[in-house]
Amino acid sequence: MTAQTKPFSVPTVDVDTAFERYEAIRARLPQPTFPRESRQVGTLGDVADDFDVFILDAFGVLNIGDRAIPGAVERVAELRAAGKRLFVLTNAASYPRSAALAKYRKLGFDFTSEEVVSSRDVAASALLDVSDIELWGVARGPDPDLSDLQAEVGTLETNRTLFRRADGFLLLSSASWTPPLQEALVAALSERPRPLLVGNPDLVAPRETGLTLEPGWWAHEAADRTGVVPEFYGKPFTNAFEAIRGRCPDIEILRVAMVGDTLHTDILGGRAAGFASILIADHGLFAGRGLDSYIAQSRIVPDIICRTT
Amino acid sequence: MSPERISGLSAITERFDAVLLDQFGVLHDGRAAFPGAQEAVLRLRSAGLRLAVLSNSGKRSAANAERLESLGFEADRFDAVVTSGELCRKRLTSALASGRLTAGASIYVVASSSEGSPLEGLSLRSSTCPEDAELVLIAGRSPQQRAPEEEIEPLLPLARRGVPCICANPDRTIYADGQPAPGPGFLAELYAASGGPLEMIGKPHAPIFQASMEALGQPEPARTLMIGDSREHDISGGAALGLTTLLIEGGVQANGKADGPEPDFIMPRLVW
Repeated sequence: MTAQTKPFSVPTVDVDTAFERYEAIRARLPQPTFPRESRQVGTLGDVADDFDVFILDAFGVLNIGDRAIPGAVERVAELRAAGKRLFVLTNAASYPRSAALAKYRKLGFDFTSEEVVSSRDVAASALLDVSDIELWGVARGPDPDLSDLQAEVGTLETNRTLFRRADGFLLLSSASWTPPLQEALVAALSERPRPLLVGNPDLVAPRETGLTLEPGWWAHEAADRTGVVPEFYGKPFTNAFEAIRGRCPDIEILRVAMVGDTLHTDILGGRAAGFASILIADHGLFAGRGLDSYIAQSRIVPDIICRTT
Repeated sequence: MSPERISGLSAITERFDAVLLDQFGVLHDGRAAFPGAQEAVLRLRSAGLRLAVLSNSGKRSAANAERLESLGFEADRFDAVVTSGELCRKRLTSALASGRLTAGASIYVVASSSEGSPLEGLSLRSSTCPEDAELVLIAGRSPQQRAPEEEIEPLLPLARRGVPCICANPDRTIYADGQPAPGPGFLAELYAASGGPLEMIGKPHAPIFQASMEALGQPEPARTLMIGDSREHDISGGAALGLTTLLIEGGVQANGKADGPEPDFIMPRLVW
């Protein structure tokens, strides 16, 4: 695969390359079972009666970039009026959850802080459980606010001595990550293996210019080259869903649905957490690209395929 | 506030409109009714209180009503027999209706017997083969027949694959011939500890209390008395819903500890 052998020549990749890479690292993802076929419906409103809890991915379900998906604000209000419990579960780790919440509010959604779970929160709470690490080297991206991390942290992008000094590494954002930084990380891990935590397991994220490479991409690349086994926080790993289970302990497990646009994160993760999975087909990663063939190749079969939110 | 000790129900019944009764350890010990329990039920009935049996049994209501009848508690003495097994059955029926479970789906069942099974009469397949299971149902255990290690082993790969599990009896300890043994709740917790998605149905979780209150026509919580021998299941669970609680000290779970609230009343055994 081009991107694997020459990772630094491609700042962005296409959907097929991203899909192939997801398949190549499949052994590092949870291994749930899937239904034989999907039920096809028009909107989330068509399956509202079948579930009590909807866990919504943000990109491709609520918004694309800076605009809300047409009808999504109204659908969320309608589900709420019907007494459904709603959560937003996002693998966004470049900024604190408060910033994610502010973004959804600006788009017209009325989510509360309690209803938003970001993979950054999941990673941040994991840091609390690690006792033998004094200093973390963090890939933080452009947002300087790391006050939500209750640990001694330094920024890898601006302080190269951390590659040597840090007792562990935490990849939150790849927005400012560069090939030389990746080489420094790989060299550091080869010389002295240390814990590598990843606050966003996504391989790619859709932007105007194409698919950008996300922390998950770089972490898997480092794992391939060093043998260090990264610890991922966020979808499709079950730690992301445990945060939601903790907030509503008495949910009926067969009446929870994970709604998303990406097979290897939302659908695979939702099934691995024991929930039904709903793929939104018309927006997001696979929009207009022959979804059936991706499903057939990966055998990641959603319970329900919904055209739009 | 420390609990008030009473010697018989007659001292407090006029404060209540409805009574929820735990079964095992309060009415009987699995072999015979406790002395005085049948009379107490009869008197509550003639005093005009609404009565429900509220049990963490993984079997359906009818099977439990039959067992109560065989121990001398006739079915017409209770307005309802609410069991976690029956609640589990409702979950399965609704999952079949919504398409969440497909007709003929394979369910991996751990139970003490197939009698009164929540799957009874549903188009679901009870399977002993874990390979194709779409759901795990832990309804009971027979400690005399199988060791817990033997039962948990086939469950672990299912837990790792994220197959959802419903446990219709949260009891961590069960009593077989008077001897404590690991209960279905113990297996379920191991399932969850191995990463398996778990829903516990039964006391102390709210849904079974809510179902019982519904079955009795929503009596006022403070004028509803929950009688049980488990601090953890009956007292904590009942108090969480605002019910008044009465602990039977001489029951089978009498030695169980819990950090939860104190009961409102304590009595050695169920007598009028």
